[in-house]
Amino acid sequence: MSMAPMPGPAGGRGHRQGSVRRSPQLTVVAPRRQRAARVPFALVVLLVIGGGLIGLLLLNTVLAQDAFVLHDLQRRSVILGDRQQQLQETVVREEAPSVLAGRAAALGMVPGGSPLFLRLPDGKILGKPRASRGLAVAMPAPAPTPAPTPTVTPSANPSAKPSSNPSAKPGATSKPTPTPSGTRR
Amino acid sequence: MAHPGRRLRAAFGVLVLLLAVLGTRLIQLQGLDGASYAQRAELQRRHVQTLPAGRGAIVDRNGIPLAMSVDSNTVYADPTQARAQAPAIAAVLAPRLQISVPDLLGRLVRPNTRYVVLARDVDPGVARGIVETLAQQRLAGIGTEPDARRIYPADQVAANLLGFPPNGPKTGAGLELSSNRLLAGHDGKIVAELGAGGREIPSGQHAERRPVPGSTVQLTIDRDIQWAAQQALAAQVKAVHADSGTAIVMDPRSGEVLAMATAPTFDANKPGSGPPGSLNPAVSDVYEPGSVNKVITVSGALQEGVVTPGTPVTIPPQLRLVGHTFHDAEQHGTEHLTVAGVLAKSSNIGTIKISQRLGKAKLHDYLRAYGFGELTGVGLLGESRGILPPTDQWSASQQYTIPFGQGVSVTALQVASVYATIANGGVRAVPTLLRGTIRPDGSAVPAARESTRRVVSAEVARQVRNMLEAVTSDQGTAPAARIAGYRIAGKTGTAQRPNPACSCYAGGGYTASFVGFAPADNPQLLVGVVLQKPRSGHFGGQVAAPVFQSVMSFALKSREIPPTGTRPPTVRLVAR
Repeated sequence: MSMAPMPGPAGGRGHRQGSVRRSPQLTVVAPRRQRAARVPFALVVLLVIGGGLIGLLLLNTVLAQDAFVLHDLQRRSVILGDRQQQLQETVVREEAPSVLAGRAAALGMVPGGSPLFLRLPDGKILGKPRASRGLAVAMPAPAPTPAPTPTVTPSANPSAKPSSNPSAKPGATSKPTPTPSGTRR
Repeated sequence: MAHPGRRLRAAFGVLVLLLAVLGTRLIQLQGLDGASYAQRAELQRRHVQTLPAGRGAIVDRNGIPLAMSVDSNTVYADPTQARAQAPAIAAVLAPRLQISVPDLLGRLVRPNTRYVVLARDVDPGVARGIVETLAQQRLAGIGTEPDARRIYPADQVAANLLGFPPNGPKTGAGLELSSNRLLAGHDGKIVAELGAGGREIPSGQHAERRPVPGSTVQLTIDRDIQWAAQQALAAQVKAVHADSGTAIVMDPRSGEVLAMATAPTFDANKPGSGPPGSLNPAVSDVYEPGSVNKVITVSGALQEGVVTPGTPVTIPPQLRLVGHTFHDAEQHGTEHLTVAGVLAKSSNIGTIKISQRLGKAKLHDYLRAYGFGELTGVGLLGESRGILPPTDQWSASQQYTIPFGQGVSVTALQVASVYATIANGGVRAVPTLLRGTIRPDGSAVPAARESTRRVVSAEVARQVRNMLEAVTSDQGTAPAARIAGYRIAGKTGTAQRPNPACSCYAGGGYTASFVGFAPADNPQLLVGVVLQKPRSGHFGGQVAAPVFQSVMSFALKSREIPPTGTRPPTVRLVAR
């Protein structure tokens, strides 16, 4: 670096410029000024290092910041999820048939009687309309409405006592021989 | 030490020694013990969190949940940390967990353990409040774990079918147990590195295995019909002072069970509040069916061609066979009924006479073909086969009592299946409760359908349906089962219950039942009702038919099944 290139016989340029005959005189060439070139280089290096460090710092900060945001958002999501679940549970419980029936009864509603069906192809009306006679199904009723008659009790329905034999039972005196099948678990 | 060369050497020696010591220590720390230190450091940061797999829901045929799981927390204490500040911790926990302070204190200072459960099934919001309050007050030693709570939104509805989920080996019952493999799913976990405050270190290692939630099991049950059946049944069991009762609603065409009610029953949210005995008596308890059995005898005889619906049968006031005298339910003189009349009026003597034409081997064949003595295939745990001995083990009288349903034991579901077979044109569809499963990804898998089998011809089934329709006529045994506008077919049953005290029937009470279907000429619904040991009245037509009427009316409306608008055929019940 500190030496100038040595002109020699092989050197094309020196050759053309003359002084062929004279033996070459070696002199110390003043070194080229390098200082001016070093400063920008150092600056660039410093910049790169500094930039890298700052970038790394920023990146870490952003990551850490994101971790905080993530944590907070996750927490919020969990809280909202819990709330949703709570509300869903309430809805499902309120939808339960016993709850609905109780509410309807409290409003003075009773289950409908026999519906009529209109058959579209021939316009025929099917079924026998019958107004609701109290409750077909006994309700757990805190109802201010007429007390629900439970499902027809045998004595409450005169038609339930048929004139013919109501049902067969085994001859009372026959006493079929008890078999192993006779014992009920 | 004046010599500079010596001093240099000494300094060099000291330096070398120092470096050697440091180097050795470095090798020791990094090389030899490095792994264990790294591990200890990692253990401080590393956190493994189990992600519990959500248990699948059990839903009815319309997708309404009958059983579902919701998130909850378990609150636990580490007494080694909590002991020091137990009173302050107890003051925070007591109002939130609703546990008394002395009780809490006892658990917070329990010796020789680092894990004491304080409360389960804690609402996640409450658990979070506890953790945050304790952190603010700098109280340590209380932790929470994610857990799940099983809820049954409709309380009692289908509790007898659902049972409760297993919690360890040999626990659990009902569908929660039998479908556990589908419902349970697989737990997942997160392995992560946490810094102070429980926040994850961004560049730390992170491994996650997502939990695989369980599938949703869809039943064929209709929640509303199930509820109506339970209500009607419970009311009647109370009204007639019966011991217990069951009601089954089926679609005879597919074998799908729409409701299977038992009374008394229990609140599924409070396991342990159940009645003593089996979870679901409709499939586990056997009883002697009584007259509902006559349909097997008559349909078998029709199928074998030994009688026709109009064949006259002479019914004497009583019949003496193998040392026993058989009567009908009511005293009568000698009657001349048709085969249809025998079934409609439920004559024991007439049925014995028809069974004599059929023969006991054929009778046994038909009992088997209708599903007696075998599991129905519904797939419920604890199901009984019933008791149907082979013919060579029948006692002398059994061959005459089995035709009218004494001396043979069945479950309520088996009887319902017999009538479903008649309703379905003689083809037996296997009763089923499972409609399918819904995988966690939302894809539905329909349940496999069992093959059907033909028991009697469509023509015989039609003839029997007409006879069964006469049962609900004014001349039949169950006018109480009629529903205005609809054609209803069915059969009453009134059987004597054996008395275990004397191994005889005296004092055993009765089993009253009614099984029927509608519309009679195009059956789409079947309802079977059994009441055990009613004390106010005991005839099936009086005690069980009103429950049938109530449940069938509700189910017809609920399923929007119109009447067929046809007239019932005239069936001759009396010969000559």
